[in-house]
Amino acid sequence: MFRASYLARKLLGVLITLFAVAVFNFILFRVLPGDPIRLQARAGNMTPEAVQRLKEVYGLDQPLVVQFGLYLKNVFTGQFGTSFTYHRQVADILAERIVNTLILLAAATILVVGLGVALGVLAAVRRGSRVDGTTVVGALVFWSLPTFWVGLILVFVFGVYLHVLPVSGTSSPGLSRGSPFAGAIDLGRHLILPTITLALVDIGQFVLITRSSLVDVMTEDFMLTARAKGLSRRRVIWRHGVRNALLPIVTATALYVGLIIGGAIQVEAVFSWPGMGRLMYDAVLRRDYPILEASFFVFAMVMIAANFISDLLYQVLDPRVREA
Amino acid sequence: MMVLSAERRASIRRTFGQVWADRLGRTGVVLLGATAIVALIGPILFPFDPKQVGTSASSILRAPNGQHWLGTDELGRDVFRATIEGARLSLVIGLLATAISIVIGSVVGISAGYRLGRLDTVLMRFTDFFLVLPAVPLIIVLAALFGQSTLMIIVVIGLTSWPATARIVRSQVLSLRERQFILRIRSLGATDVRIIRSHILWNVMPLIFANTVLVIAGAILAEATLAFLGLGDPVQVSWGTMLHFAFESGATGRGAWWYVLPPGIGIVMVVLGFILAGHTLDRILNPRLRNR
Amino acid sequence: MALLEIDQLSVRFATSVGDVLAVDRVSLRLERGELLGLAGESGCGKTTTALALPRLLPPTARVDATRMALDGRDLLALTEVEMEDVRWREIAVVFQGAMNALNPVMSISDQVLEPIQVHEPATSGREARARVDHLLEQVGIPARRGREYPHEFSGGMRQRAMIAMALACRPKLLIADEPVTALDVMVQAQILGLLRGLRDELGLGMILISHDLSVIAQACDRTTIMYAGRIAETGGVEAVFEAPAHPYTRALIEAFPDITGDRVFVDGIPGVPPDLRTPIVGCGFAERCPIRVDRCRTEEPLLRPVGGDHLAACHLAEVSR
Repeated sequence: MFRASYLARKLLGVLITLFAVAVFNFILFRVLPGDPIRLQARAGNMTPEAVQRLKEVYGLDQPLVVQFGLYLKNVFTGQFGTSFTYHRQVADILAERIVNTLILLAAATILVVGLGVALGVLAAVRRGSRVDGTTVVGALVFWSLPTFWVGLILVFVFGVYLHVLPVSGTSSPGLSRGSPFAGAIDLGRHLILPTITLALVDIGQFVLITRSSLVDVMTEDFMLTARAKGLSRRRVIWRHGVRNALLPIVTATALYVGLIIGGAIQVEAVFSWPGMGRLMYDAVLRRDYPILEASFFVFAMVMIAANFISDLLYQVLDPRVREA
Repeated sequence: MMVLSAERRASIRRTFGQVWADRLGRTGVVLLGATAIVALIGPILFPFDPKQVGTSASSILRAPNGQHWLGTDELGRDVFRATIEGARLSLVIGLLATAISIVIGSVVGISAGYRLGRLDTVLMRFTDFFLVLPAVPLIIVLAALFGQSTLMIIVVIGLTSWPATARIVRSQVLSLRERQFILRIRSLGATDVRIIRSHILWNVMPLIFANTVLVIAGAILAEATLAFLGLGDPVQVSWGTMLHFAFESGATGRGAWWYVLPPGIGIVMVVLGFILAGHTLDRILNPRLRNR
Repeated sequence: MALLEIDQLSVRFATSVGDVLAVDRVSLRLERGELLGLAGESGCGKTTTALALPRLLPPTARVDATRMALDGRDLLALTEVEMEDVRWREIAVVFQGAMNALNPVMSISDQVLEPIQVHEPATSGREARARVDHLLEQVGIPARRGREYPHEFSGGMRQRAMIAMALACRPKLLIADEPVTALDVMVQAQILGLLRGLRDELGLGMILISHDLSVIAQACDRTTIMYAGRIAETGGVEAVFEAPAHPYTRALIEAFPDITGDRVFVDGIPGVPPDLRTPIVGCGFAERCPIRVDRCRTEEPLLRPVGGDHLAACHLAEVSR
């Protein structure tokens, strides 16, 4: 499906970007604000022995280039140091948390893409109608909602008044010894409000992108050809229209991942969802720099992966760029 | 300095006329006007004193009443006055951060699109790199590292929101530089600086402007998010910091709706105002979208 | 009974500045195996007339006709779902400039295959594939190239692919809308030859729309010249081109220096067509006409015979022979 040379070039691009992110991180955390010891000192008290030990760990007595080499080695072997607050390996903490974040991101993405495409198509097909107008206005309004605030309101409504859905964490206390099935149901129930919050805000832009992309496609000559061929309206819209409209949508998806990561941090903070976002929130409050640094790096990796996948998907979907 | 000819002034006036004629555009303008008025004269009519805290347990998190129209916060301060005070900071941060972002984005986009070649490659690689960095984690990290003064927050948001602008401006300049009139002016021996200043810049201005309005919306949301996550300027009142303290003090769990709703509604009104205005402007000024 | 009968077809477009009468009481007849050329400047209503048949005009169009029948079947009485069935199975269209008329993300053979699958679901997959290969070969495309996508084809090849697609369900009527525009002269001749050959082989009725009279002269049996939504002149190709009875037809012919040779467009026809938003009083061509008389501005010239089935809508047209 892909030429080997294309894949090789893309993978090389991914590696270069990863390297650039590492350089960026190094400059950000090691060069600009001072060394890790100063960061740590800013976060709390330190004994002279601890200072000495850290100096050795980070190679701070070495020249910058050597420090960078050491840094690269650490980053690419997953050694992000020890958390200031948890006093454990950052990598271990991240490993525990990332699954929860991925569950949340996946659930919200399914909702956003599914509902977003459906609404965008509906609006584009009935362009100029009341349905279209309402969809566009709705999308603009949702776009302007701060994610964390929507979360706060849902916590408020469900936590204080309705009590039908849990507003905090991933599981109910006391359920740990229940059956795996009951556990999954419980997780699902905890997932509902965070997912809705996350999707509600990010769906707006997705609907608008789908709509405008399909509106563009609808004016193309081949859409008239499709109709002339005697295809049903449904087939014309989905097989010819949406299929072509997918191309800009796929490009936008990479940007969407950046959006939804930002949303996830807020949602996890509000709903005490024990993922990387909540971790980052707590790390900000406690100035736990190793955690911040590592989380940022991991989120950047997710973005790079999303871009890579969207590039590949574009290749699959558009024959015109395949041999380019 | 660019002097606006009568023709250009007329076209600006026409654009605003079109925005006003659009239902969504007009709603946006009204929302923005209302917020601007509140931000300008609100604090004069209803000054907020952060040190005026409650003195007894009963004055904390009180529901709205005759004395405190929107109740009190966890320290017994007036929520109504704080909300009005917060409008200022949101607008100031949003506008100044956007100014930084637009200047960087336009300079990068115009130089890359006009010069092309190696400069273009380098600048676009740089832009793409920034596009790949996750925005919210990036501003969190920057704010956590470089401090939480209002100035720092403005700089951080400004420095992280320019790449999209650069891309949009570049693609517009690319199509402009091949247009007949630019080629002709060039063959007459006009200098690049002159061409850019008096022709390219004017022609990308509408697009930059529509984009600016949307960037402001993003910047205000970014500030609110940052402040909510505890990275706001602790000595200033903003809607984001209010919500941060509402959340951290457990006011949400205690049903203090008067503390949670007003700052959020403030954010939504301003951001929606900018988004509606920007969306309408984009439709009017962006040639690709004009017929939608 | 003729294959196609159109009586008094009018098409109005609703626009923000009022109704535009794009086609004004046009009547046409087409026999089986006949190739009719619809000619005229852009905006004269020729494409609108043709696309009104399979009801492919945008929703802003309002179509009126006293009769519109294909093979005796009343097209006006069909529901939208019944019309879907008529499209491609009975009326197929080869669109102008096949560049964007083909779906860029579907392979050529999938696009040719699609109408067979939809209209003849009983056909087995293998049978349908074999038919696609045959169709491609028939229009001069090697079957193995069917796997390719439109962007890999040259303009002429895309036009051939479009024709293969149009033949997929063996239609009775083929509408070819500017099928050779934007192709170079050599390729034009090949495509026109292909269309004529298919007409002979399959006995299709064909309407060929072109602004280029040399194309009409090369390919068609009969021609209908339209101006400002009305028929100006109609008749056998030889009669119309050798003894044009309408001043507009004469002006068109003069605008092309050599009907069969190169198409250097000289200086066109002075003036512009009338504004179709206001009803035309008298003859639509009067303002540009070199020989007009007072009557032309007040009284509409009706189509009348000028010799055999050669008709012209001009007060001054004389009966030849």
